[in-house]
Parts: sequence; C-alpha cells; structure tokens
Amino acid sequence: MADVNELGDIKALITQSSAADLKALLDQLSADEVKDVLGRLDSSDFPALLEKVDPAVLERLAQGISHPSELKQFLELAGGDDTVINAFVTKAGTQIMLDRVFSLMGEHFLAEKVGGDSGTVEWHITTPDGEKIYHLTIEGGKAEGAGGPAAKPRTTLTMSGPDLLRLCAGTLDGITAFMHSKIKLSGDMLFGAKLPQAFDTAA
Amino acid sequence: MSDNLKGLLDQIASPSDLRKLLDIEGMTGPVIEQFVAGVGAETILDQIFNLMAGRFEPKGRLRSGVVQWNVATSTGRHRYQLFLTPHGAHAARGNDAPPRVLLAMSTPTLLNLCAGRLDPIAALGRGQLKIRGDLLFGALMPRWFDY
Repeated sequence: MADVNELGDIKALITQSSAADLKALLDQLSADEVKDVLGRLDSSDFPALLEKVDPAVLERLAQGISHPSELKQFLELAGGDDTVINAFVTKAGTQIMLDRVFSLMGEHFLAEKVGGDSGTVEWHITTPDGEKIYHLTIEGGKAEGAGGPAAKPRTTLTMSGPDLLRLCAGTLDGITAFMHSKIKLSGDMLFGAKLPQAFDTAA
Repeated sequence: MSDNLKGLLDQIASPSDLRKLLDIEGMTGPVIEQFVAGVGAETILDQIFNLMAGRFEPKGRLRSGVVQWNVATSTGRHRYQLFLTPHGAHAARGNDAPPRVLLAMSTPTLLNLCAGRLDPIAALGRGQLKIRGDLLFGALMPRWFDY
C-alpha cells in the first residue's frame, strides 16, 4: 500500500473494525506505514488500538523503531500513562522492545557526556514480566548494549520500563529522575549519575 | 533522605570527586540546592568543611587564622569556622571564635570553591562571594588547599 490516506478515517476504522479485520489490514502495511497510521491517532485512540491489534503488528513496530523521536511518538500516543506503556511493551514483546532500546542507546551514545570514562553499566528494568537485566559497555568513546548482567559492572541503574523509554526518548530529565529516586544508582554513583544524560535524543 | 543522594554524598571524598559531581549534566545551581535540601544542609556542609580541612596545606603563621563561613542554603544560613594552624586545619559548626576573615556565599559557590573551580576575585566582582575582615588573607586562602 503506497498511501495511508486511502484508508480513509483511521480513527473510525480502528474503532469499528473487528480484531481480525484490523490484523488483516495492518498486516498489509509496512512498519513505516503503521507508524504513519499511529501518527494520525491521539492518545485517546491508543488504548482501543492496543486492545485489538495483533501482537505481531506491535512486534514489527517495535523492531522498526530507528530513532529516539519515534519512541517519543509512542509515549505521546500512550498519553504518558505507565499502564498503557506497559501494555504496549508487553504486547509487542518485552525482550524485543528492550533489545531495540538498548541498541538505540549504543547508536545514540554521547561519549563527551561521560568525559572519556569507560566501564560497564548494568541496567535493571522493572516490567510486568519481571525485572530484566541489560548491560551497556562503554569503551573507546563507544557504547554497546546487550542482554544479561555485566561481568564486572562499574555502576548499576534501576528504573521502570516506562521511565527507561522516557529516558531514551528524551522526555525524562535524568538528573531530576535521579534526585527523586525514579532512577536508583549503586556502585560508582558519580559515573552512573552522568549516564542518563549521555544519549542524543534530539530529533 | 533519598538513598541515591546519601550514596552519592558518601562517594565524595576529594575535590576531584566534587568536580565529577559538578560535571554531571544538569547539575545547575537550583539542582545543587535541591541536592543539599534532600541530603540535609548540615550533613553535606559537615562533609565539605571536613574535606576542606583535610586538604589544607599549612605553611607557618602566614597561613594561620580562623575563617568564618556563612553559607546560604534553601533551608537557611549555616555558619562554620575553619581553624587554619601551622600544623593543619579543622572545621567546626558555629561562629564562636573571633574570625580573621568572614566569607559569605551560596552552597553552589562553596562547592565550586572547594572543587578548585572558583576564582575568588572574579566571584567577588560578580557578588557571588562577600568578604569582611582581612581581605588579602581571604582572597589568598583558596590557594592553600590541595585540589
């Protein structure tokens, strides 16, 4: 399908379509076209879409997130509501979503913000599926994210899944989140406190 | 008190650590004030003045005297005294001893001074620092610490 405009009134389509019809329709769209559809919705439409949409569509969507600004778009659609964000992540697949986020972190890492420091950072992310552990290896001005615990973490950051998404989308101020304990730190805290600001989230 | 803030404070053991703290993106004056209020002004100021005393490099009578510090925080003004002697320094809360010089400043200015990041003459010009008493002693004093 070349033009999403051909679908007509997107909001009515989502409200009135059965789950099976919606799946059949969205299956025909590429990830970019699904993003275009989402861009035409507002936060009040999102829970209805989330309820009906097939998990495979959200999985494709999560895998297609290529920039923090797209993450920001999802968060806006979710209306900043943790319950809706968690529902989206769970349905898209928690691991798929977190894999994508940690991959984005590596791609958008700003070495100058950690002053040339290096080390491995362990991230503990609380999700409805339990705590998920990832690590980010910072070395030589680059960062690379991967699943699982670090062998020797220099610092550990603990936060909720929605706050991780907000952080990577640039909608959560890292220092404020740290001051209010939305982000918890252990290990080398002076190193860890620099990390939430070390990702380029500009559109 | 947030465990984060207390944990962070516990890791500040040198002027270099203080510089790392001040280098954190977003660690602006108002955020420092929040940090101080969150940890407790006396907790953080006790640590800062003890750190300062430990970093004093004595050099005979020329570097001796009582320095009175009046530090303005979002929770009120706190007074400390730093006793510089030919053999070392120690800090105490209050204003009991007659000071050779009195310095008044905000907490962010104090942290920058202890981190070796504040030019006292420029700070005086900007009104960030106020001095009364032996002005020369007060202006030179920040140079007598190991940063």
